[in-house]
Amino acid sequence: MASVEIRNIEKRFANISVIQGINVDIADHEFVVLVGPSGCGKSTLLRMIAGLEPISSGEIAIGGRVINNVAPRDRDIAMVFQNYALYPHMSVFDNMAFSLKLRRQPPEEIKRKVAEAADILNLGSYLNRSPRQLSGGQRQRVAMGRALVRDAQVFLYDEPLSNLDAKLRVLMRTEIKSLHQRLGTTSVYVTHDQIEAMTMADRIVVMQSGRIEQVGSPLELYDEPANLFVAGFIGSPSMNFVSGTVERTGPRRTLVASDGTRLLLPEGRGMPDQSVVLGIRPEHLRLAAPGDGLAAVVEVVEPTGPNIEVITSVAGARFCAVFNDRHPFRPGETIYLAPQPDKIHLFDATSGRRLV
Amino acid sequence: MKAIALRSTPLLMILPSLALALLIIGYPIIDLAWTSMQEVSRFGQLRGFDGFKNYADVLADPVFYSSLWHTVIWTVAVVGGTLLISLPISIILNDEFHGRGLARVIIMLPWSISLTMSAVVWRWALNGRAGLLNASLMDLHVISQPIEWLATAPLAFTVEILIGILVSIPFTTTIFLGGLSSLPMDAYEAAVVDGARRWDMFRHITLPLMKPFINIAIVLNVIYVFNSLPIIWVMTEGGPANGTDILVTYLYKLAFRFGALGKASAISLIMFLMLLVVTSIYVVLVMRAEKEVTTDKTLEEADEEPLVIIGSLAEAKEAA
Amino acid sequence: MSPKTKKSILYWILLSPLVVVILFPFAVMFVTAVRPRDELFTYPPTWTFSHFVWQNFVDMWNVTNFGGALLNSLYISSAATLIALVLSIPAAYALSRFRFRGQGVYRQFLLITQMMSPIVLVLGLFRLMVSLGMVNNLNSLVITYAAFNLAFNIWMLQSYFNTIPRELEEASWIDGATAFASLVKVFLPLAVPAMVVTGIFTFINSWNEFVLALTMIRQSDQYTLPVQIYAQVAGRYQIEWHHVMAATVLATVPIAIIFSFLQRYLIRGMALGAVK
Repeated sequence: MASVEIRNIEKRFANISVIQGINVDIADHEFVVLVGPSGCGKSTLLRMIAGLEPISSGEIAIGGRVINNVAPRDRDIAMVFQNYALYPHMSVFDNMAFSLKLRRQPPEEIKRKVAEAADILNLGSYLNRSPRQLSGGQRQRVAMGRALVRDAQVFLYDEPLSNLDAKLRVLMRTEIKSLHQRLGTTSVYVTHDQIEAMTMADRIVVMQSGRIEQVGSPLELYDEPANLFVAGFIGSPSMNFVSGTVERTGPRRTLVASDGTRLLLPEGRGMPDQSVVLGIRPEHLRLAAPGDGLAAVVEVVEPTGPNIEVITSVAGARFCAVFNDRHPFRPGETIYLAPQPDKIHLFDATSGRRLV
Repeated sequence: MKAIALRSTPLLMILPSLALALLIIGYPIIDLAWTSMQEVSRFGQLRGFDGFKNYADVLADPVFYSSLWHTVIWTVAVVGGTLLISLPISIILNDEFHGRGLARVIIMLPWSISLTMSAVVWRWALNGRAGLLNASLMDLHVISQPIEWLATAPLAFTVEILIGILVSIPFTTTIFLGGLSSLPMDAYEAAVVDGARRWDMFRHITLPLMKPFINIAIVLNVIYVFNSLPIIWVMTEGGPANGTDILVTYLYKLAFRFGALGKASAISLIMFLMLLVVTSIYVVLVMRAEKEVTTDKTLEEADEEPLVIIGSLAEAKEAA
Repeated sequence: MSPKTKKSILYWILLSPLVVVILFPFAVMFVTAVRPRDELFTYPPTWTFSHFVWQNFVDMWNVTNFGGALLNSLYISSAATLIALVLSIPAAYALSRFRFRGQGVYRQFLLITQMMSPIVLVLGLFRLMVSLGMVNNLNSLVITYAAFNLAFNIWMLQSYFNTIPRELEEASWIDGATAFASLVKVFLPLAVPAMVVTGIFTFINSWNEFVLALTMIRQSDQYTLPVQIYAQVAGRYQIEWHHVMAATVLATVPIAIIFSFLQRYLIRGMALGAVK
């Protein structure tokens, strides 16, 4: 096992800069997820760690050794690809044994290691099949198995679950996480799915346009998003936003929204006359008496089973609220939503930064 | 690979093929251009720069004009006939029916046989006395006397054009089949839902979507037929009395029978320029077809070659 | 009668004139090849004949040096196929896997070489071979055939290579393979079908080529099959048609059979780019 240090990494294709100076330290045994919308540079960063993409500037070190100019095969990493990249002309056994054969390990050793990995992944009875004969989930396991037999220092995952159907994805998510808890191999996992990131990561790196927006544990990102982008990206359904200006009325401050609605702000937040964006998660809204809180016109009601999600319109903006109770909302009805004061997030409207 | 490859790697990989192509295809063009500006002795020796005298000779040669005219008729008739037959054939072969596999094999059959051998067999089949075409037509009481098919130029040329059409059908049909199978099924399904009939679908969906393939088939066939020597060479050698000579047969006679190297080079170069024009048209058409084929693909896939080109390549060999 | 049966009958009726015309020369070949010599020029001409003379094939083989021409054609076609493949594979790989300066120019160049038919260049090629001292040398045809098939090979292989996911090679590098090992153990095994199909097409093209073979080879013992058969009918007073047809049967039938198996790959190949 090893740590991965990423220092001032930049990447340019021709003259287009796709990654601009990224610094992340990934500790030994850590499971780090790189997440962001497509085109944010997360896959490129992973491929640079793997050695599949040249580094324009900066340094990457694995286990303290700078590997910028080390070929992928000498980096002692294993990777699981989005489309699995199973060798179609080899059996499952040969797929998993390929790396060991290349390293000229003795046949009994190879057999033992493949059998061990197959055992962990429940692939024992498929070893003689060709990848073509496997289902999507089984292929995914073989791809995992190929990484497992390696005893590599670092596991890299490039959106490994994105080709599976929803149910299987949830299942494999749990399997990968429990596997990591068992083996403790340092892992870097790329996904565009924030739920995957939240559920699997020790630490999440949120990226956008080639930059890091925030690094932190899942709950840190959820509870204290550093900026508007992270606030909107993490959490599902995503956070609601109201923009307005801060006004001082006596000891407390209020937010005056563009339509004139006034909202009491938690103590000590926001400078007077500052343009801000207030954020509140759907689960942190409660029903209030008429005239109290935000007037919201119900548009669509979406029961999910455990919850009811109500999509409403507040001052022309989309606003979502989640309730455990089975309120009989009707489309067109006006309800009043009050944010829990201690759950309010405030962001500077121009910079997007979180206001503490 | 990018990470570990040197910048020169791809260049080293294309170099051997480039070198061979330059030697065998590039050099002769330059040599022809050079020779065409030289005075050449009857024994093939270059006697020095001669300006455009060879070109002037060619342009003053009545046989050149008659051959050019024959080439135009030959090309237009063969290509036109081929397209008219191939389109319905390919639509039939694209549909499901009993024995389709066999039908495809039969229609493609002439492609596998060298033009030389086809021409030899036809020359015998058309024999004025004992040819089996005469036998068949007499058995069917279409004619009562055997016909000398190859003795007079107009009849011989017509027969050669028909055989030219026959041997061009497989390639053209293959292009069309490739095109037809790439048409989006959902467009037809949508049309059926919209209440279109078979003919409407052909006019409003098949034909417009096939247009790039038809264009490519036209250009490639023009190049192919324009260059085709064996049929006419084996059956009539351009005779009788230059009556079936097209540019390639005349060129070949000038070069290897009359030893008129200068004039032959000049004709080669003129033909090369004509081909270059047609090729440029082809390139434009391919690029346009590529655009149409790739419109609904994702960006990553966009740099994939449309395999239409491949057909083109297979075919041009046949011209020899 | 089911609609499909009805449709099938209609289609076969529509196709029948063409089918007849296509099969006609084959019938002519067979009927002439096995006919007694003195029944070649019966009048009025007729399809029927008194008895099968299989001996014609044997006589033809002995009289016309068919075996020698067959060997020449086999040698030339195999060697040209091999050279064309060996040169095209790296080029196709480069076009498929790298982005490099001059790539576009190289593609255009290939396209133009493809358009140039041997006939337009034949005089220049002949002069080239004279200066290289390779007239009457079978290898002159080997290298020209290889060259004229390069573009087709490269394009065909490249478009197939494009369908082999790059990730497979990347996975093998991470698994510890060198660039060479990855090529040999992962990439090339997957490219075998394309190489076989492309190779067979080059083989057939070379086998059938006429103009260059007619021009470069002046000695009858070095003739290739098409020239050998042509020589049996060109400028002769007495043409032994039964021998000529026996020779065409032997020269065309094996190729026609191979081609029949291959033609579906060709159609699929053309559709692939668009369907995928």
